Amino acid sequence: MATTFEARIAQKKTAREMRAGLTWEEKVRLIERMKEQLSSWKKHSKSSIASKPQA
Amino acid sequence: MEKTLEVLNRLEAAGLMGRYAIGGAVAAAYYVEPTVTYDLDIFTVIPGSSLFIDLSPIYTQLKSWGYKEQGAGVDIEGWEVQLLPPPGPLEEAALDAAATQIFHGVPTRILTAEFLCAIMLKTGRPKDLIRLSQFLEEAVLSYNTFMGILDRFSLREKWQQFVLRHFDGREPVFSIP
Repeated sequence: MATTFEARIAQKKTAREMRAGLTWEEKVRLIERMKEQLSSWKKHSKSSIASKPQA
Repeated sequence: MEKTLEVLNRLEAAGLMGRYAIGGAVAAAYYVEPTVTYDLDIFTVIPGSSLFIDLSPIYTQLKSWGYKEQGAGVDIEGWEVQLLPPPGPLEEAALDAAATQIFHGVPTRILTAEFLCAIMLKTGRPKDLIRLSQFLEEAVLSYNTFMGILDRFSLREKWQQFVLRHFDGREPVFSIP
């Protein structure tokens, strides 16, 4: 369990280092992708709530 | 974002807005790890404005190009653009000192790291102070330039309070003199 946790922390650190090493243009593209994902997630979660059976 | 910047450059070329520069999270992403944001903060001088700032000529032009108001700004090619006339001398100086950058072939300007941080310190919202800490952790500021700005705009006291609260009173390490 500890190994899995450590591996996840190491992975996160690597991802952070990777993001920090991007150019500004690449970082902005990343922000644009995050924006799109968040928007689609928001739409999806709204429609999921709307389609939930009412008590 | 390049299409958004092209539209802003057209507004500047048409004289509807003066010199502009990108601030906020998109400018911060130039210097430090990016964070998600929906808006594009644009510092700009509105020609002819004195006491009252009239954005209507810009909004009318944008509307004629098919762009609609969204939230506190205008949706230009997928970015909610917020036009921010400099509220004081600090922001005016930041705009003057903004550096030219090219984004996918489109020229634009972004605020320097030191001015961005001074504005964050002045604004003092929790998210600004978190971002300021990020700049300090990633050691991207020039000590002399930053302290010069703090002195020029009477922000030393705020800085000392920030250092006390976020760094236990120990001045953070600046790797750039």
